[in-house]
Amino acid sequence: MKGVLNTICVFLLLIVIVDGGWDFSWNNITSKPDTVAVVYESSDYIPPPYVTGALNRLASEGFQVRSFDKDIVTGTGQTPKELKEAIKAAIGNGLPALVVLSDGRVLKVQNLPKTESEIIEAVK
Amino acid sequence: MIDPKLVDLDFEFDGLSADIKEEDLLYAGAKKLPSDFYIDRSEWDDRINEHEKHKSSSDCFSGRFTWQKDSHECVCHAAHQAFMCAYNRQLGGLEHDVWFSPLALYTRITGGRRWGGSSVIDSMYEMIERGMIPDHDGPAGNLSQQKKFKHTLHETSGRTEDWWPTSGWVTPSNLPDGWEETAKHFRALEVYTVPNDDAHASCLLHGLCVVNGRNGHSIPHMKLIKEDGRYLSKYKDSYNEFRYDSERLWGGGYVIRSVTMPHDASNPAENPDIEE
Repeated sequence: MKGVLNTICVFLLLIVIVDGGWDFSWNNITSKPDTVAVVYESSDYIPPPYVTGALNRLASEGFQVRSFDKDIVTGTGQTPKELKEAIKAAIGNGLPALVVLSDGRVLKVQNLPKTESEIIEAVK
Repeated sequence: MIDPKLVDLDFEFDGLSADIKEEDLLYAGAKKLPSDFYIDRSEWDDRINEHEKHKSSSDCFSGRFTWQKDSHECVCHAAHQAFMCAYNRQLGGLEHDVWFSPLALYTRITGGRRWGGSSVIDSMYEMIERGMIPDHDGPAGNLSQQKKFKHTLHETSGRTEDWWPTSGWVTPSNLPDGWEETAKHFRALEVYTVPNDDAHASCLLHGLCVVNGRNGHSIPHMKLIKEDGRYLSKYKDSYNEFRYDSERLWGGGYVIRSVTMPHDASNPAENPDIEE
């Protein structure tokens, strides 16, 4: 009887996850963030000192950090491969945005926080 | 306390061949600084303190001094600083710092003329169009960038070092064959004009490096400071020294807002000889 109930519970949980429209990705659980990107529209926004301060702190802890305009290109006019997904997610979110990545995959995107400590918290 | 001898130096001509006019910069590809980017004077002190606290002014993103010595390359040494600061800021600090050759820019924009200097508009245009060529030397030491890039050149024709594989004056035809393939990865994408002293202070307070010039000398300004109640613009002069200008000497130049971003910051020129 107990085994049947467990099976039903697991089955119901799967239905809730699938039908609930949750954006569930194992990457979000298993991937460790390695890059933090601040994406903005350069004619509208210049990151203030606290943003640089937060990125400096994250860089000192081993993160790769990037701060750039949404239309940034490489020397051959392409969107940088490692940042392609970050730019797409940031534009979808609205700019300026903070994007946390793992091996080029977006783990998290949100509006750029208003303080240095909020940026650090958002990444960790 | 800043040594008064380092403030408002009188320069003799060392390479700035023409006054910088905003309309010329606009014609060459710069844009006007957006009005929203002006910072009111009442906010200057707070901004200065914030930059100190967060180590966020442009000098924090410059990996080196240069020393033009007996050359007329000042315009390109200043341009090199502006490019370096913009590049490193995008990549989050000095971890991926690249050193560039001011001489390689100078000889291109003068068409191989050694003496007489160059114009800021030409240097800006060339950075937008064809880009910067890396130096032989780099942050990892003497000649360290020779392995990293297929095309490099020495820093200046104004002096030499015994480890440099090339030295002295070079004409554009003496540049390493195919240099365009490397330089294209180090181009300016967006440049703003700095028309007046308010724009000058505002750009510094946004952490941007301002290039301007006077008395025949071009200067890369790094940060705004306040001493004894007066504001000074601190610049990284191409004579291995920080110096300072008071307000009367500000304005009239450009800032680099964005530059090309590599796919891989550890191999920014996509050199096939470097293994991933």
